Amino acid sequence: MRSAQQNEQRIECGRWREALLERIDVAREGRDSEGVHGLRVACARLDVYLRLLGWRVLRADLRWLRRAASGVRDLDVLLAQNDLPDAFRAALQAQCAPAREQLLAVLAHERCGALLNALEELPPLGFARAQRRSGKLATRVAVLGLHVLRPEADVERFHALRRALRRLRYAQEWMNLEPRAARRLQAELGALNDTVVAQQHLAALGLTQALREYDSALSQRRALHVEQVRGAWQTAAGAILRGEV
Amino acid sequence: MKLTIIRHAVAADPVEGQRDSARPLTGAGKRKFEGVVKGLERLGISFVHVLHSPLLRAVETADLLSDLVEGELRASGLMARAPAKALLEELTEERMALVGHEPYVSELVAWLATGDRKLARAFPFKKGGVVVLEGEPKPGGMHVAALLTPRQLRAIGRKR
Repeated sequence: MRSAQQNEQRIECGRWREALLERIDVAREGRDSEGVHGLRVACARLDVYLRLLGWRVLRADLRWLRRAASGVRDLDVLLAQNDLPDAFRAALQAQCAPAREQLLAVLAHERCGALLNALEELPPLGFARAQRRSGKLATRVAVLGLHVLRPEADVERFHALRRALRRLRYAQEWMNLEPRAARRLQAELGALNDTVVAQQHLAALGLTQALREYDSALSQRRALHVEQVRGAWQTAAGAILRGEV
Repeated sequence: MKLTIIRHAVAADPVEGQRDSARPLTGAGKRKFEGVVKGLERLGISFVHVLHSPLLRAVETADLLSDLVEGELRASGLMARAPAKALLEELTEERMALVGHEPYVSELVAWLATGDRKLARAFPFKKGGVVVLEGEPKPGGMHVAALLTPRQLRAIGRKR
């Protein structure tokens, strides 16, 4: 139980708005690929802040910015793999410059400036409201977690669980809680997602014989990750259902 | 296209040291605008997208409209300054709403309906007021289909 004083506590989003500004600068300069990753993370955290406020407004703008950053980041993550077939690596490398140009165009767009201005004026969030809305996010995680245990669960279900769990973790961090219980589950969901993203890029290229073998290896890896996610869910489910992510 | 132009709802007076962009809606302003939204809903008005100014009072007003929005709510600095061609280029959907400030919303209506921004005074907006335009989104290319005060819309929203 939290005291009345704690319930009156106000949460401010200024530090993550500042973080977003810093990471936009880093991403714009292109000197550090982690800047793009940080930009995505800051967008996702601010999206959760808006969800906790109960706002729909500005979330599409954050999503638009995050999507442009993801175009660059996904390629960075894929290219960091050591076992890529040469043809796949070359195709991915060819996509880097256009993805980066797209990101720079988004960062220079008037909409991005308007978003940053609007974020500067976001009101503080009451702890009690954050707690209520965080409870709803936890319920969503619990429902999706049960879905992925079903044998027929497709990759979209796992993707939805990964996003819901990330939102719940960020919600708890906004409330200065330290989520721990679902770390392994998050890591397994992340590894599964990396495999899915790789296969999506492969599918977009069309499969030659060499790439078909790699795709087949990714499918095996994916099946393994699915089982590992299910195992991690069963370990973490109790804590998640008790709201102790 | 059908273009709905909305002035932000009633905001708090400026406090010393506070940026103008940080002025929030008042509690009464929010409640009254919720009534306006009910009136719009009763009239069957909905939007594919909404463009809104980044100033807090317009952001909060746009959020109150969100149940009427099928697509996205988008922040746009173009809604916080005098109407310009760049804004007209953003009007790409069949049903859109714009949320902004005076005198710009009146100037925009005058520009689109008559081709002359200087006629803005002929199209006054109350806070939370709504003008619906129809036609082609170019200067002089639209006509005023409805000019509704917040009071009228709240009354429409209350009718059973």
